[in-house]
Formats: sequence, structure tokens, C-alpha cells
Amino acid sequence: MSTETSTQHYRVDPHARFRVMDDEGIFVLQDAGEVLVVNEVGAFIVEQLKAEHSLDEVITSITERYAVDAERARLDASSLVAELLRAGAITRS
Amino acid sequence: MSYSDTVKRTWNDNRLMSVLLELTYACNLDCTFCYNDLSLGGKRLSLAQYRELLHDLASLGVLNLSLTGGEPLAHPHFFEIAGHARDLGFVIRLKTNGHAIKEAVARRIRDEVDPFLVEVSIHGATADTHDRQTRVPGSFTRLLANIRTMNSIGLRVKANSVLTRWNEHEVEELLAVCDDLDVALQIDPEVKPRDNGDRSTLAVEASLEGQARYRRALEAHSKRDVGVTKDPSPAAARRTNMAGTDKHCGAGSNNIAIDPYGSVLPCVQWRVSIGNLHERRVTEIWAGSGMLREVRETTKAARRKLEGLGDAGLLSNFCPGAAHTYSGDPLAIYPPAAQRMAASGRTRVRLTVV
Ligand SMILES: C[S@@+](CC[C@H](N)C(=O)[O-])C[C@H]1O[C@@H](n2cnc3c(N)ncnc32)[C@H](O)[C@@H]1O
Ligand code: SF4
Repeated sequence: MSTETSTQHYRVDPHARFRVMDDEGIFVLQDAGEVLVVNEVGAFIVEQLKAEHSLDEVITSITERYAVDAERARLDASSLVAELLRAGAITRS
Repeated sequence: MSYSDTVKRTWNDNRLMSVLLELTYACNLDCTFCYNDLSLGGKRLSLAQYRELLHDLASLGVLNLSLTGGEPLAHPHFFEIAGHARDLGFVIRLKTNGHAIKEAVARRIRDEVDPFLVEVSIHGATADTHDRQTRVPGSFTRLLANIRTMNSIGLRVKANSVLTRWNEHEVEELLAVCDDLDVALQIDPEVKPRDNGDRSTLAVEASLEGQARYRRALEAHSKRDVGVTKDPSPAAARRTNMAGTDKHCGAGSNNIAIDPYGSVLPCVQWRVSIGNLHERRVTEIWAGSGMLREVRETTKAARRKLEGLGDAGLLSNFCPGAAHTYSGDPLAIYPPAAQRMAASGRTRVRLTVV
């Protein structure tokens, strides 16, 4: 379970690069020399985080856009955020 | 979906992913074999035009941006352009001769550009060989010192070299020099004609023995690193890479190049203009160039042609851009591709070589 708080904001790590390509998102982790591909929902979440929305706001947007319940959206968003933090793709801001 | 699937999709869907900018043809070295066409003229793109271009490329979702030349650092606004590219979130590769990158410049590159990779060119394992190519005495010693500096401040450096008649006798030492510097080395075995078709650069092409020596040296070097893994045959590997697309390459489909005078090209090697930034923005060119459509069809035709030649075609390392530079015909087999086909030992097709 993630320890991220719902009011937390995130940004793309200064050494990572992110682009949305149609229905997926690509992170280039420059320091590790690795690429990380996220699916459409993942790309949407990252775009929302980049637009300075908090985790809570992102979760609300997911429920509206993808017609899923809040619990499901919270689980998905939190686990993606935790994974991206671990990979060094995003940082807390 | 894996990254390679994503890249293939960009080929199929004509999704622009990588752009190479030749910022200037000015250079602080003077390599004998340099493919740049120094007779080319025109109105250079202004800093304002570069800013607009970078914004347009970011809006198209472009991920990779290579800055080259000539010597990119010789552009008077290099740091403004590269810094702006960094701010727009591109993955930047800097292709440079490394000559100007002493410590202060290296630090500016790291802090203001934050490139994914700095690719430097090395032309031999010794000062005699390298400086003979660059025609600037001391350039080898300076390059090695600058690579060490870049490494020490945390820039990621890779070395590129072109196999020539002048360095083919020391290819093993070249690999050792780069190992010693702790930088990966990529060797291009093919000297290209100049961009205007002038073949005088080919005077330094590696000999057949030199090519064979290079292949042996690479094999010995990779065995040392890899150990026990058994690679598929090169043709099988190429087939795997080509699965899922009907194009030979991504020229004009997921990548373009732009010269200092605003000409947009399908790829750095394919010197045919698909539009000019002094007349139209890159977004318009990308959306509606007739020449671009023709280029994309040509990459499909190249694929069909090479597949028709079997393994030999797959192993020819054919490049429609190089073919175009040799003869004006992007589908004509040109001498180095023919040589590789012959070396693969499987061609029974009679070829007309330009
Ligand atoms: C034109 S240079 C521009 C960037 C920078 N000035 C440099 O030398 O790295 C780009 C690369 O092309 C290589 N090159 C130049 N002329 C060539 C030729 N005729 N055939 C093959 N490669 C060539 C250079 O060695 C260099 O690695
Ligand atoms: S350093 Fe690069 S651009 Fe300059 S002459 Fe050599 S190959 Fe050409």
C-alpha cells in the first residue's frame, strides 16, 4: 500500500523526460538509460500530475473520465505513482 | 506494449518521434572525408525560428532531438537553442567533435542542456591517425582530455568512429582506447559520399581486408563482454526487428532532419527537401507534404525490393538515403550495399550497381 498522501503534488523528475504518444506515455530515464512505457490511463495520470493536480484531484478526474469507482481509481493511481517514484520517473514537489 | 513496439507503431502511423537538427556547417575541425556540402547556401534559420520550431516539435509530441552540424557548438546561439530544447522536455543527443568541450563548456552543457548523451567522433587510436583526418594538430590529445573531463563531471559520453583506410590497421587499439576511457564505441564501416553526391570522400574508404579485420575485432570484443549468450543469425535478428511494419526504415515516417537553411529532409542521409521552414511551419509540412508521402511509399518499396533478395537483401544494410546520394535513385543498390550482399554469400541475383 502506498504511503502517498492525497494532497501531495508531483512532477516529472528533472533528469527524466516524458511524452504522450497517442494512447500511451513514454518516460526516458536519462540517468539509468532506460525507457518506461505507461498505458493510456497511466499517461493520463502523468499529464494530470504535470498540470500540478494533487493525487486526490487526479483520482477524481480518473473516475470522471474512465467511469470507474473512486476506490479502484485510488488503487491504480497510487500504485502507479509509487512505481514511478521508485523508478525515478517522478518526484514529489 | 514494449518500447520497440511503440517505435514500430510510429513508423506505421507516421508519428514524428525523432528530429535531427544540423545547426550549422561551420566547424572548428576540417575532416578530409566530411560529408557536409559546404557549397550549400541559403538563409540561416534565426533564433526566433528555432524557438518556434522547437515549440512546434514539442506540440507534435517529438521525443528525441539530436543536435549536430557541422559542429553544433559553433552555432552562435547553441546554448539558447539547446537550453530551450531542454526546457521543452526533449531527450537531447549532442553530436560533436568534442574539440571545444573543455571543463567550463562541459559544465555549461551539463547544467544548461542536460543531454541524454554526448556523442563524440574519434578517428583513430593514435594522434597521427586522428589528426590526419581532422587536419588539426593536437586534436586527438585534446579530445581524449575532454572526454575524461566530461566523464568526470557526469556527462554520459559515447564515441563514434568511421572505419577508413587510415584507421583500419588500428581498429583493435581504437576499441581498447575507448574501453580505457570507459566510453562505448560505435564504428560505422561505411564512408559516405558528400551530401551533394561528390564521391571524393570515398578515397579513404576501408579496404576489404580492413572491413574483415573490423568484423573480427568487433566479434572478439563482444565475445569478451557477452560470454555465453547465443545470438540468432543476423538475418533472423533483422527479420525480428522488421516484423510488424511494411517499411524499410522510419525516414519521413517517425524521423526527419533539418538543415541550417530550413530545408526539411526525411533523414540526415536522404538529402531531398520535403519543405522549407522559411515558407511553411514544420507542422504544416508534416501534415501535408506531397514529397513526404512519396518518401514513405519509397521506404515500403525498398522493403519489398530487399525482401525479394532474401537474406542478402536483409544483410545489405541498405539505406535509401545513401542510394539517393549515390545515384539520385533511392532504390538503386549502391557499391557498399552490394559489397555487403556479396559478402553475405547468398545472392544469386544480378544487380545493377550504380
Ligand atoms: C558530420 S559530423 C557532425 C558532428 C560533429 N562535427 C562530429 O564530427 O561528430 C557527424 C558524424 O558524421 C561522421 N562523418 C563525417 N563525414 C562522413 C562520411 N563521409 N561518411 C561517414 N561518416 C562521416 C563524422 O565522423 C561524425 O561522427
Ligand atoms: S568535425 Fe564533424 S562537421 Fe567538422 S569536419 Fe569533421 S566530420 Fe565534418
